[in-house]
Amino acid sequence: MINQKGLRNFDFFLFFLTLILLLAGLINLYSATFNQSSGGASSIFYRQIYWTALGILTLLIFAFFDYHSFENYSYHLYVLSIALLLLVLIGGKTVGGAKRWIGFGSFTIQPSEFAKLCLIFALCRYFSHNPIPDGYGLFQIIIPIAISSIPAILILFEPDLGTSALLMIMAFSLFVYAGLRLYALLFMVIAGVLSTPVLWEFLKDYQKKRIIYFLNPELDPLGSGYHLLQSKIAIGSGKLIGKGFLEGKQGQLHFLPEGHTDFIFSVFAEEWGFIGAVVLLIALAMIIIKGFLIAGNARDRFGTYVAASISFYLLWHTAINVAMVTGLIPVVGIPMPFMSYGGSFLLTTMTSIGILINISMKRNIF
Amino acid sequence: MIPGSEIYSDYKEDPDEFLTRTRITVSLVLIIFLILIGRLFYLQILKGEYYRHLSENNRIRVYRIQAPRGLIKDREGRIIASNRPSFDLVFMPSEIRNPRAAAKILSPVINMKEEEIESIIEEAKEEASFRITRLKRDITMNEVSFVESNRLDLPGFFIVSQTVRNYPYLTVLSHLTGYISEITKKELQSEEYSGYKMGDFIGKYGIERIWDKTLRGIDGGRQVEVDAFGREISPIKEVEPIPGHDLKTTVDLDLQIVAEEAMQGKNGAVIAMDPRNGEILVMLSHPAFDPNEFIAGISREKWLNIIENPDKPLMNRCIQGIYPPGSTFKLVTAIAGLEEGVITPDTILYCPGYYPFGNRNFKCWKEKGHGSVNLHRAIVESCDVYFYQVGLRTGVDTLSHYARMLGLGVQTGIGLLNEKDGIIPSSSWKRLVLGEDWFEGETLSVAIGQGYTSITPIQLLTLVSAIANGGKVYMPIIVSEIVSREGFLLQKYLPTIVRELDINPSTLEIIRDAMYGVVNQPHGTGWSARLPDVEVGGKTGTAQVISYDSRRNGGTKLDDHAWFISFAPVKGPELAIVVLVEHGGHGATAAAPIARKILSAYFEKKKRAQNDKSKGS
Repeated sequence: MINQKGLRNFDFFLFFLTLILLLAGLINLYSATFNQSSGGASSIFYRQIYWTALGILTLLIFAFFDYHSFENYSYHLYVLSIALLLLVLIGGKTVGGAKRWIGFGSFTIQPSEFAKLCLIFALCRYFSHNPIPDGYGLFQIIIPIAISSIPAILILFEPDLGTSALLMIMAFSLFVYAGLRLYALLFMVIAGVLSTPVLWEFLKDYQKKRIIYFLNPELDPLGSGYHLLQSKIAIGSGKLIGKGFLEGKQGQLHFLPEGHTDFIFSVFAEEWGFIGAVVLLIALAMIIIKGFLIAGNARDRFGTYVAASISFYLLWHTAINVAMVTGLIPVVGIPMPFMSYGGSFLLTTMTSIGILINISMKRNIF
Repeated sequence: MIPGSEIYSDYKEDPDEFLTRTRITVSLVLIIFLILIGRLFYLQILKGEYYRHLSENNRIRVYRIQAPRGLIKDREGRIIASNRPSFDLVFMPSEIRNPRAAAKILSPVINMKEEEIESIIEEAKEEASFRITRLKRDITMNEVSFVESNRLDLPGFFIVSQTVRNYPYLTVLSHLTGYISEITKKELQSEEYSGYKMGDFIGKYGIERIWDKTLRGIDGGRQVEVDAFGREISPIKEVEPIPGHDLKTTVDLDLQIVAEEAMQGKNGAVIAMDPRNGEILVMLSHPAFDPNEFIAGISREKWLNIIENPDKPLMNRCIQGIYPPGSTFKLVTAIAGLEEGVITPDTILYCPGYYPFGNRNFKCWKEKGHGSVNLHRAIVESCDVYFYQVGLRTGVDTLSHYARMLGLGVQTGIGLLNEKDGIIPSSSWKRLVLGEDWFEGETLSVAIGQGYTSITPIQLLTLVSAIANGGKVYMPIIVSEIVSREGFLLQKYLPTIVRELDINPSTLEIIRDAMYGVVNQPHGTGWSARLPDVEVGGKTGTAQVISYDSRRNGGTKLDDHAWFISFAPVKGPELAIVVLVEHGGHGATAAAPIARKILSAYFEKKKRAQNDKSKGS
């Protein structure tokens, strides 16, 4: 399938931007996990190098692999992802009170990451095969809601409130993008607001407490509130030009919890300052905008919806992560694309970029 | 051209179909990223200097502000579990450059080994070097002033004020209130304690355990900026703790103390209930423990002493001790006989001092025999031979049915942990558990409360309460109210009737009358519980620790367990009491006087209250 024509249409812009971000991510991860006493990189860093190499390979495979195959198999993939989520709940590894991983020896995967992509395919297939030009009403949207709710609820049980909420936000974004009638949109928003107190009553006390802290970390000055304060100190103290590579005190002294995963952006902003952080955000914004342009120009609806969904996926991850570590929204444990450590997430991100490139290539073939 | 790509039906006919959506989404991206960049501008440019300052000094310290634990009170509001102020010696691991030097200075003063101090510091440095860690809790004022005056030699060490649980009545209420101590690593990982933190104190026993979430409140915290010597410069954020709720129990402290004094030097259980609503007024188990000892972190030696004590001080005998009911069970046999019609109150049976059955003679406790007795006298004088015959007439399964109905052999549901069931044998029970058929000879033992039968004191208490109140089995209550620190009533535990007995009121009347006779009539076995101005009803019991046969062979010197169950006044009962004295000998001599002391204290107190009232008005 890789012929000259394909290569000529290959989206080098997207590809190189991705490589640059991956490189920035690795450099930053090196710093975030740098071991001061031994003066060397941690095993986390070396593992992420393998994941990055595997990720680039994955990107290339998906870039040259006709995305229409996913259209045919999207429901199968969806069922598979649900099965994996069930497997997590039954036999998953418990880390910090939550079951989120399946282990194969020393190697663990996080099925909720793959579930995000599989849900995208299933929803996009549904919308592209059931087009309604005037917009979807309440009855036509019931099936997509059901498709999205199943994995969201399973992930909620792990429990992983953040990922579950993110899944719903992604699905909802696609509903709106595919075209919701105004009354259906309003109905969903109102139903969501009204059901909250009902759901609240079903929660146990410690779960309620967790959610209260989650919504207002300042109430928990020793736990999440402390993390947030340290994150703000890290970012703020970077000032205009940052403290320089390996010079970030907050990150280096491990004040930051999850410094290599959820709070990785704080490490970056501390060492590279406002300028570095803005350049990083602009690069991400360019990828996301490019994604939405690809969506608009795709030659078929499935391609459009997939490209838009992937762009939403990148947008919400980036926006929620940065907003969270800067204290704009509650701390919800959403990783940052290209920057956070984590194999499952990196592979999912690279798969989605690969598919974006794929859709972008197909555009010119008539 | 991709082969087969034409099969896809969703080609867009209008290439600009999504143009508007593209514009909207791109605008959305731009807006979101502008907001994020704006936020970064605020943090890094506008407040950059402030945050740089905080990060350079690295002097953010967070303290937990412990929420005051709710108080536990007796039925009149007297505090039986309180909090007292205390000081903890803590340290910031990252700030201790030289653990050995610090250990050397502190060791002689705080009475800990140098190596122990050093290893605690080293471990904390490794595990969480920026988490304030406790070195010693509840230090003395001398220790406090030493640390304060040697502050410059002890960088990284400081003192925080806390509160410590205090049980002012020491051993008197230990099984009831229980105790709290530090959460273990294992507990932290369990589902029950999710949301708890290292260093938290949790209820481990009794009311403290069951109502832990009600009592504990929510900790607050402070984030402060400190200088190089650990002195506070400015607070950053403070969240007030939310105190736990208070519990009002049903226990009467006065009666509990009377029971404690009466049980001095004895092992056993005393438990009393208001038969009108199931409220527990006394719950005492001996030997007891001092709950205060568990709080400071009990020493290994003391802990082993408690755990390996053959008398098991940690066992709450009221709900966990299982004993044969002895002659107190004759009330059940009598009720079964009357209800099934195999005897009437006037049925007269002859007791020559033994009852021949099979190829052996079953003895009456009175070797000379009681002669011809009716039911009333049989209960008053506790004639074994009479009840052997009633038991044979009803059969073991009927006895078992009535025993269970009256609350024996099943947990009462008082809500404390590890309540025991005991055993009420029946033919099907024996087949299931021992795989053997029932022998009728065994029925004789069951009829007088021996054999396989075993029950807990609290089960007997619900039985005697039900007889006293005319047939209602109440759920025992120990906590009556949850009250917020501000004094608002949050929850009230109302009396709950578990079941109404399917027994003729006249049958219970006959039993109550006989129980009156036990205490007040000539030859009654419970004479030692008699009170001058209140009519008391009761029944003695002597639970054989080993069988008659092995005693005859000189198998052991252990005395029998002594029971006394009672209620008063006979007309309109207000208090039901069960007393068990382990190896106390006879119920009449060992247990009944204890019940008498509590009854006497109860009615004297009531009289005093009435006098005060009439004086007042």
